Amino acid sequence: MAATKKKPAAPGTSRTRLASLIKSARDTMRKDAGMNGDLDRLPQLSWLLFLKAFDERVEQEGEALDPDGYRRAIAAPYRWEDWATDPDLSGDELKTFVNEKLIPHLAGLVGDHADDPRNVISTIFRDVTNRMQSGTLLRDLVNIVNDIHFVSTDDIHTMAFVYESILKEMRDAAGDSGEFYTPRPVNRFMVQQSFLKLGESVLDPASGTGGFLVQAYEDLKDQVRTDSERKRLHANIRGIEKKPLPYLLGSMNLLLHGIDAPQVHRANALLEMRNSTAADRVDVVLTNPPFGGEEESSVVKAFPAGYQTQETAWLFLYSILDQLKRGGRCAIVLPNGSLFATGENSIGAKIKKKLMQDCNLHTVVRLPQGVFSPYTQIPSNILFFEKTGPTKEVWFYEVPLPDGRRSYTKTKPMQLEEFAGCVDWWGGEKREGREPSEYAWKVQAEEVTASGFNLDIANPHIGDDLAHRTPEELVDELIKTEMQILGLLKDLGAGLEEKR
Amino acid sequence: MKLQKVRLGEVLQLERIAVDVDPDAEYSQIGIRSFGNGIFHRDPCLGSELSKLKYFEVHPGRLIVSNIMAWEGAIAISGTSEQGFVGSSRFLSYQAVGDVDLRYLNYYFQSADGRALIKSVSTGTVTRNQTVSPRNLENAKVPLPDFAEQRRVADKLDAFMGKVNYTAGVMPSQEHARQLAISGLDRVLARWAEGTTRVDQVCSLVNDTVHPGQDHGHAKEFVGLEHISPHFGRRIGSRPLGDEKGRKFRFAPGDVLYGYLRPYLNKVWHADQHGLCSVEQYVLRPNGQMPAELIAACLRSKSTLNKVIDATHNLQLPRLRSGLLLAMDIPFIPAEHHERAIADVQGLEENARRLDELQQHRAELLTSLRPAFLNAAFSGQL
Repeated sequence: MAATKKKPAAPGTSRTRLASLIKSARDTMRKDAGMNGDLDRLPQLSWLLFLKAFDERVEQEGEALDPDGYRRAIAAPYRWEDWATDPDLSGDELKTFVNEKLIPHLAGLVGDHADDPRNVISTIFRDVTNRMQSGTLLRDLVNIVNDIHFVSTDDIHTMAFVYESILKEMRDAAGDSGEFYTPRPVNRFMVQQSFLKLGESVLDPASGTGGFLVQAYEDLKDQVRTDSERKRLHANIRGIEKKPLPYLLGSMNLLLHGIDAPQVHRANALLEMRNSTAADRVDVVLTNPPFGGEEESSVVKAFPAGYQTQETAWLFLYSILDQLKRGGRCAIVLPNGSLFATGENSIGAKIKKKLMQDCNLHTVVRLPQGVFSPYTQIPSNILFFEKTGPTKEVWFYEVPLPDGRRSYTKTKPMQLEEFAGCVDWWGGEKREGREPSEYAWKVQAEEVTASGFNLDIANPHIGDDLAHRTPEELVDELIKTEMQILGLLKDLGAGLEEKR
Repeated sequence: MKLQKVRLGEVLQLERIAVDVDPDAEYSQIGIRSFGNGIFHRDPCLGSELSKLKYFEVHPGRLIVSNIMAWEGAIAISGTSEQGFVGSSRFLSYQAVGDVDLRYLNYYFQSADGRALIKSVSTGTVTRNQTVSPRNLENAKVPLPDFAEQRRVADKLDAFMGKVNYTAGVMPSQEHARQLAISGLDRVLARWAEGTTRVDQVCSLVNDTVHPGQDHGHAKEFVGLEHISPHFGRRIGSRPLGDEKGRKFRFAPGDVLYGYLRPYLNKVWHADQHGLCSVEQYVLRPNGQMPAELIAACLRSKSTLNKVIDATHNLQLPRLRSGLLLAMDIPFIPAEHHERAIADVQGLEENARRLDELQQHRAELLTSLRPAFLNAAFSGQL
């Protein structure tokens, strides 16, 4: 039998090498009896990656920059080099060390001041458990993670990319994991159209895996000129996350993108924002809050009478209105249902009324079907507003689906380029020269008020030809079309009968 | 004309006649289609097979509201054909108690204003299920003219809708244009053919594979199966090349792309550009015996499609093996007829495409008639 020709291998890149390391790590974890699916495997990989990245990015770099003054956050024998690089520490001995010493030690770290990275480590490790039952497989996994390096900027970028792709995959895993993942093009579009400036504080009160914060940081970091500007930028990128898993993933994501001590708080953002003071107010809020979710009654009761609802999206919007500085701005994702809510007794309508009284709701971007699939098919919108006084008019822009598509799907998600039409129309930071088009239309604030604060306003240009015609006009056109069809059929019949 | 708004609870009364379900008895259930498309009957089943919901009797002449899909127009009036049927607790059955013509109300709920009213009293943010409770529905206020006017409008709408439905029912569907496009190809190709030839005698299979990370060459776009329209051979989209994840095939202008996954979709395209396609498409490169336009037309024709369907029949996810495709007989058209045969094929396909577009336009017009009538009726123009 002739030998089968070997297919040419894809050229190796550091991205593919990393992807293959991650694959080996996942395969190793898959063999362990204690791991069930990506939702177990990802946290396990993440906390190990976190420790390795922290060791190289913060501890080793800190020592290199300041050999005498730098004090390590993690002391011996818990430093990465003490236990992770020792191939003889394996099996039950390693498992016992990790479970009984390492994790409790890290969870118990206390920082000297607010920006001390030990606070981040202890918050993360408070909820970390080693889910692997085999110490030998754990050793294999640690060895793989030890082969991943975060030394050069390229390495970090590559790892950040690979990590984000894992987060994206996790969105597809079963359960409700998708709730803390916003598609990258949506993150980027919202950040881009918020026209961030260095020195502004940016908050995502439902920061999840840190998509908005990373994007905001990426948007601003090239403007940094001095070390104090860099520190200030790190302090200005802020997040709040309630759940331990997304908190771990988000901290890791920020760390990989170069923020050594991420300013992400593990807390219930609604309570945190209700209890915040004027000093905590921020310049920009970028967020995709959970919608349809419910909060416990103590959280709901923290809101003023008349604004108490179980719908988390409303509670977030209400809190954000307070959390913004005067002149501050916000981009928030909200479902169609929230835009529609009307009626005298509707809390949604009351909050929209407050929004339009306190803020200039200048733009509503209507997203196409399936942007958040497969997690949800709920049609969604992005609201852009500034706390600069009442709304006079609202511009709507409907992002169309690409030709021939009915929806975005898990395998064919939205691309950033598909926002290009909206970006061109936007008119820059000052929103100059906006014109109505087949995708853009303007509604006066009085009209929204008269409709009971219904913002679920359909594109008036869609189906211009048909939906707005009278029945007589439609019947006339049907007759005309029918005549054309008849003529065409006659031509076709004659064509088929033709001879050579 | 300003109409007086009436609370629905004043003119409608909820009717709940519970059914004591006997596990061994047979029951027929109703369902309601969204967008005003009326009641349908589910297959009869035994009481033991009914869901755990409570069941109620359905009587003719009631306004039946699906409590979870009413916002999407799942509201209808029961007729005599629903006598003896049952409906789960998801179906709210209302009888008229005041001066109200239920047909008028039903039409109102299908109009833009009526739909918005129902939506405003339905709660929930889930995409499809937004529930309207009897209390919320009965508290909603509807603009109602006097009874005679309600009846006049409902009579007129009944007559119009009946005609629209009849017209839509008797019109040939778009499938006619598709079948015409491919069966017409057989006729036109036969006109110029002299015998047959095997596919592999006029073109060869090219496997120019591009792996992730490799140079794309001249290719700038990806044209996958989803970018080719069935039967008509049109490219209806593409996407720019980026970080391609899986391997792809490279094609050049003049190649014929044949979709071999689910080949009954008949996605055959004569490429006019460089690009990458999915590995579920064969790239066929003509050898000069017959031009690509004619090879593509032969592969798209009804007779070839029939052979392909026979060869892949009964497969769960049919794929046509390349060997089978290459061995297929297609009409052989000699060089002296190429130019005129191509003109003939193009003429036929152009007309078939035009017919498809006109039929699509006709379908859209017919769909728009219904809301246009409702709009006219509830803005006092009928």
